Amino acid sequence: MNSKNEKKSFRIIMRDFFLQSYSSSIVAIILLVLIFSIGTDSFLTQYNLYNLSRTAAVYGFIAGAQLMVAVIGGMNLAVGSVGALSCVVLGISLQNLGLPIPIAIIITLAVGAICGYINGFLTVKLRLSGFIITLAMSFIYDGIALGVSHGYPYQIPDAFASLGRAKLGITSGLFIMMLVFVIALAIFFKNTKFGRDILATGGNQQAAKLSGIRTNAITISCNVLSCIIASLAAILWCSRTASATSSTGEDWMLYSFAVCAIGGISLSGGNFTGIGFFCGAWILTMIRNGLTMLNVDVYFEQAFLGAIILLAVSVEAIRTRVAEKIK
Amino acid sequence: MLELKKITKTFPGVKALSEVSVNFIEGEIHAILGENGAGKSTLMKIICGIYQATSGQVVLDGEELHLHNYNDAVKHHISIVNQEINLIPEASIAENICLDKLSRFTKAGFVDWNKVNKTAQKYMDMVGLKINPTIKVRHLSAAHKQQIQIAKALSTEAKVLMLDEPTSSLTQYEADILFDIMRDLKKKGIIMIFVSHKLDEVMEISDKVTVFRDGCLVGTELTKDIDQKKIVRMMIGREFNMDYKGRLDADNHSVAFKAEGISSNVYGFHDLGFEVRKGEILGFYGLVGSGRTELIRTTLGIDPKSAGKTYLNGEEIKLSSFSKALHKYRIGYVTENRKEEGLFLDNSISMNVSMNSLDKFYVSTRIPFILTRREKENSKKYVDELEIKAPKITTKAGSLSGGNQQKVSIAKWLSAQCDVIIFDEPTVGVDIGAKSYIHDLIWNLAKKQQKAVILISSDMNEIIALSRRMLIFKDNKIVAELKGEDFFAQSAKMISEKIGEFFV
Repeated sequence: MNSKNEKKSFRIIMRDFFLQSYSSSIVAIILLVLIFSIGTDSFLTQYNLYNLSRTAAVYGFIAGAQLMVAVIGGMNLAVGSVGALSCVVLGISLQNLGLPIPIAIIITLAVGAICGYINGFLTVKLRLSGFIITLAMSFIYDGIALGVSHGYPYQIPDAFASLGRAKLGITSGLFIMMLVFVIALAIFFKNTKFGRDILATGGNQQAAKLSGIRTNAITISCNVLSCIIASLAAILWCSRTASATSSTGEDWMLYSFAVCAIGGISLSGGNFTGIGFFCGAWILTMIRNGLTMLNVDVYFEQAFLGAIILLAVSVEAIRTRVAEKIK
Repeated sequence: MLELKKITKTFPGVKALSEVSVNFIEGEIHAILGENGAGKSTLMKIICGIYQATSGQVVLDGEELHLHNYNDAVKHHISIVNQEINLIPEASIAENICLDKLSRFTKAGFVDWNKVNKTAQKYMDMVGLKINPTIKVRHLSAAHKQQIQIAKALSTEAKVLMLDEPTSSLTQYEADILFDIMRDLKKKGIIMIFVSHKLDEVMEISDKVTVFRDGCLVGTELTKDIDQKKIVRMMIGREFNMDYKGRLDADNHSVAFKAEGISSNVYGFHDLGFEVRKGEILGFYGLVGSGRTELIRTTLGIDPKSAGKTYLNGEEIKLSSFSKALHKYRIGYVTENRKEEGLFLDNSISMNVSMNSLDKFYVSTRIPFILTRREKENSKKYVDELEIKAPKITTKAGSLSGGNQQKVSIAKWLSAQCDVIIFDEPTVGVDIGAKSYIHDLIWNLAKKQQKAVILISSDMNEIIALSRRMLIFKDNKIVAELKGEDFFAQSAKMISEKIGEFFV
C-alpha cells in the first residue's frame, strides 16, 4: 500500500517535471554527458570541464544578446557584427590609444549601446521588421570594423587576457559571470516591472499598449540591451582568446539563435526560462566539444551539430504538444 | 430557393441559434439585421459551410446540403463577400479573380494569361468595373477592391451571394455604385443576403428584412411594409429579461472625469465631450463605427487627438498617452476585443490579472522588486472574487471560455484600483450566466464603490439595465442625451421606442 503511494507520487513528480519547458534540455544534457564520457576518456577531465565552462559562458552571453530581442518577438541579425565592431573598438582603445582597461571596456560597451539604439530607433520609426533593419545594419557594422582594422588583429595586454583565464576553484571566472548573468536575467524577468513589461510586449503588443506599456520605448530598450550584451560577449571573447580581430563574431548570429531555440525560448516572444537558456548554452558547447573528442571528421562537424539541434527542437515541440494535452 | 429549416447551433455553453427557419428567394435582396451576438454571423457561416449546424437542414433548390467547409459551399455556387478585403495586393485583378481556378487555365504547367484576363473581364463587366484586368490590386481604391471581391464571388457562378457589411469601408458615393451593382445582379436572379448595421442602406436596397435577437428569429417583413422605427423595435424591444436594478442617484455627486472639445483627424470627428460623475454609469449607445469607441480611444491618448481638454476631479490633466492615463490618473479601459487587445493569451491567468498593478507587489516603494508571493495572492483574490472558473491560476488565459476570459480582463483593471473605468462591449461573446454576473459587477462598482463608469455598448438592454444617463452616437456625433432616474424606470419597450427616434 505504502509503496504504491510512493510510486504514484514519483509519477506525479516526473509528470510535473516534463511539463516544464526546460525538461527536455536537462534530459539532453544528461544524455550528452553519458554519451561523451563513455565514448571518450578526456571528456570528463577537470581541464576539459574548465575549458567547456569558459566557452559555454561566452556562448551564454552571445545568446543573451539574441535573447533580449527574441523576448519581444524580434531578432538581431547584427549580433556578430556588433561583436566584431566591439573587438575593433576594444583593440584600438587598448593598443592604439593605450587606455586603461576599465575605460576601454566602458567605451566598447557604449559603442554597443549606440549600435543598439540605432537598430531600435530605426525599427520603431520606419515601422520595419527588426529582420530587415538589423540585416542592413550588420553589413554596416561589419564594414566599419573591417575598414578600420583592415582585418589585422590588435594586441591585447596580458592583464586583460588573464581575466578570461581566471580560475575559481574547479571552475572559471567566466563561468561564474555567466551564472550571475543568467540568475540576473531570471530575476529581471520575474521580479522587475521593466522585465515584465518586456515579456508583455512580446506576448501581445496591442494588449501591452492598452495596458499602459510604452511599447516603442521597450523595443528600443531591448535593442540597446541586446547590443550591449553583444559587446560584452565580444570583450569576454577577446579576453578568452587573448586577441581582438574583426573576424570575431562571424558565426555568432546562428549560434545565438541555436542556443535560444535549444533552450526553449520562443522566438515569437513573451517567455523566458533561465534554466532552459543556461542549458541551451551548455548543450551547444558540449556538442561541439564532444564531437571533436569523438574524433568526428572536423569537416562534417556542422552537419552533426545541425542534426542534434534539429533533434533537440523536435523533442521540445513534441513535449509541448503532449504537455498541452495533459494540462 | 435557399431554405433554412429549423437551424440550431450550439457552442459549449452558448446557444448561438435556435430553430431558425427562413427562405431566401431568387432575385431578392434579403437583409439580415440584429445586434452584436444576435446570431447573424453564425447563420452566414452555416450557410457557407464554415460552421455545421447542430440540427436542422440547409436546402438549396430542393437538394439538402451537407457542407463541411467553404470549398463545399463554392461547389454549390454559394459565395460570400467579407467585410474585410481578402485580395492579394501584388497580384493583378484578373489573377485575383481567377486564383481559385487557375488550374483550369493551365497548359503543361504554364498559365494562359490571355484566357485568364478574358474570363476576369467577363465578371468585371458584371459588376461594371471598367479597368484593365492586368493592373495590380494594390493600386486600387477600397471601392474597386470591394467590386473585385464581388466579381470574384460571382466567378464561382454564384447562385447565392452573401454580402457581410460590404459598405463598411466605402464612402456614400462608392456605396451607391455598389447598390447599382446589387440591383443589376438582382435582375440576373441571384439570391442576395445582405448584412449591414446601417438601417438607411437596408431601407434603400433590400426587398425583405429578417431580424435576429439572441439567436432567435424575431420576424421577416417586406421592406416596403415597415419603417426604421419598427426595425429598431424588433432589434432591441424585447420584453425586458433583466431586472431594473434600481436608482443610482449620482446627480449630486462630483464630476470625476470630464472631456471637452475632443477632436480627431484620424477618425474625423469634432468637438465631442462628456462628463461622468462618481458612482454613475454613463452609457454610450451607438452602432459599431458610430464614434463611441473612437471618442474614448482618442480621449485617453491611445489614438492622437487634434484638440480637446480633459479633467480629473475638476483639475485639468494632459492625457498624451495611455500609459499616463493608467499609471498617473488611474483610468482603466476594458477593451472591446479582449483577445487582440485585452489579454495575453499565452500567459497565465495570474500574470494577466496582476499585469497593471505590479507596483502593488513591490517590497517597498523604494525597492521596486516584485514579490511573486504577493502577486499570486492578489491574483488568487480576484480569481475567487470574480468566480473565474479555472483549474489553477497558472492556467493559460487563452484556454478559458469567453466569459471567464472577460472576467480576467476586467480583474486586471480592478486590481489596478482604477477610479474611472470604461467598459467597451463588456458582454460580447459571453454566455448568459457570465453576462448577468458582469452586469452585477458593473452595477456594484458604481453603486457600492462609487467608481465612475462608462459603459459602451450596442446592446440597448444592457445600457437600459445599468446606466441612468446615456449618450447616443450616430455618424461620429453625439445626437442625443437621455437622462433621468424616472425615465429609465419605464418599460424597456417605451425606452427603445424613444431611442429608435434618433436613428430615423
